[in-house]
Amino acid sequence: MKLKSYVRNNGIEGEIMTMDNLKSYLMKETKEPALTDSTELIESKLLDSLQLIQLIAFLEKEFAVSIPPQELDPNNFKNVQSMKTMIDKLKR
Amino acid sequence: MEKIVIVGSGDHAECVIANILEEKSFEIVGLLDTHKKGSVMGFPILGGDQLLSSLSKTGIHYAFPGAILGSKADTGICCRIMEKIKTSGMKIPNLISSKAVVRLNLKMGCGILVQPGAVIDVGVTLGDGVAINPQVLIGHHCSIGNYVVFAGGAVLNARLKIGERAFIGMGAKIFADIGADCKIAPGSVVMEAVPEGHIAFGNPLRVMRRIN
Repeated sequence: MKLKSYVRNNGIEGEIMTMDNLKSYLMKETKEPALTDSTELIESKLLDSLQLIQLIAFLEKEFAVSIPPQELDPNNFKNVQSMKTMIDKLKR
Repeated sequence: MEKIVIVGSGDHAECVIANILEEKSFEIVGLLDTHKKGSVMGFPILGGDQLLSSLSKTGIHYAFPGAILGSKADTGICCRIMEKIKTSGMKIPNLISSKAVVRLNLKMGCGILVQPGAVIDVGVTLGDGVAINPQVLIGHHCSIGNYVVFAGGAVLNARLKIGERAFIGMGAKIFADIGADCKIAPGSVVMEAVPEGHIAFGNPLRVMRRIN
């Protein structure tokens, strides 16, 4: 109960939910049910270029961030972990 | 009427079939696709593209690429199909809809599809395998590289250069040169040149390097 209220009060709850939403979104887009934080999305061609652009729009809406031109590097979108790192940096 | 076979059997093949039937330009013998069986719009899938050379010996002198995008939007597929057709000794015609407006001094390669409602202004150069979908507008004196794909409603300003295998998304408005292997997302407005091998999207435009 204490942990739950800590999570809620520190805004972590929303963050965990949005990361789950991101994974669900990617599983649906890539049709890859075994997708993990380190699954390669671009080099393994799980996402095509249009899906990549749709993913950028999804991230901006879901995490309420604006991804600036200098962050539009494919390495920032290669897997869930790299997207999380970029979003954490943008939220700071 | 000369006979023709279409290589590929997806949505684009249906556009090719419709163009041939509307223009009554060729007699369609069938389609070739290694991965599918059955028929498309009443025309049979005869087998894989390895049949090209044997078909060329049976009085079929023409073939046309019926695919412009492969799995994961692979724009190189048309190039590979056209190479196979050329190797077989068959000819690749241009299929220009009579419902398109094509003005004077057009220079064309082969394997070009121009769909109804497209407007191609004076002095345009089109490379091999270019696909121009409905309502595309290409301004005068533009130079379009081989295997470029224009989705419906794309608009190009005059005197632009579009590099090989570029993909211009639906309704994109292009006012600057586009490098080879670029992909321009639907609805984008391109006011500055996009370098080779990039994805560009939005208005104002954002540009991202491609990996694959």
